[in-house]
Amino acid sequence: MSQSPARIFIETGNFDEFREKIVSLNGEFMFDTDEMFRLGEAYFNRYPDSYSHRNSQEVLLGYEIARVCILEKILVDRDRHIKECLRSIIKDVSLVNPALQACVGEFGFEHVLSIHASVMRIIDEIKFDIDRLPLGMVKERFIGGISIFYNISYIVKLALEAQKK
Amino acid sequence: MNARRLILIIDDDPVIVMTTRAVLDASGYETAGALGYDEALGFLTAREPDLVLCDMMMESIDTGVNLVREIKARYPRVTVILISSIADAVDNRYDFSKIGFDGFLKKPIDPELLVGAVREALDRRGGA
Repeated sequence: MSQSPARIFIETGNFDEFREKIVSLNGEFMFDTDEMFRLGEAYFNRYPDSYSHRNSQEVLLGYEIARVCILEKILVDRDRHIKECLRSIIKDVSLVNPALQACVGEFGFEHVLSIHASVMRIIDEIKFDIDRLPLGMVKERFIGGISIFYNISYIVKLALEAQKK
Repeated sequence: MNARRLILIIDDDPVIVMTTRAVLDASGYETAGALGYDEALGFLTAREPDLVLCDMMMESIDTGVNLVREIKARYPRVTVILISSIADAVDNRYDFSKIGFDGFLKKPIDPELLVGAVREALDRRGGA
């Protein structure tokens, strides 16, 4: 049975432990609308001040919690080098061109293009579940979390189009 | 021409600022970022951008709305697009027509939509 990120969040003492545990699951964890809500509730129970945006570090942590889960779902069953490439781009978007060049060199342009398309499908599927969350701060954190993936995918798309030329 | 049009992106999330800047940089705009109310007004004191993208929720739920009002009062020439992820939840709190922003986008923003909205807003603004 898939594990619950909300349960993992409750059982781990800090964000680094949570991230480490989530990464170790290789994407095998629940992440539907109900689980997102449970994870959001667990986060707000631990950081109640972040509900009214009074503590910006805790607010940013909320986005990071969402991003760790989204990224691991995107990376499920990818080649190790593709994972490294995507992780490096997420950390620093200025690395898009060198990271993509390395991937295209190793896997070929068409394969990298197909990976980009499948990443977009996963992002859209996750967005579909986020859209079903009730209006409120839990939804706000997940929307903030997923927003960067749309931006990064767009930059990757532009970089791929440039490489095609 | 997009060249040299300066866009200030205001959001308390540095990753959003970084990636949004990358999207707009790729379209030929000059971009800058600010992580909150004070930093944004500090930037504007030194340099007036052509357009501001301002997140609604930062230090508090209505920081963005207050900041837009302040920017429009001090720098009426600057085009302002307000951004929110919780627009539906707070629609009833404000009479948006009185805040004075020039556009509104809902997160998560489709980057192509963002680029189009920025271009249209700057076209409406006209001039250099």
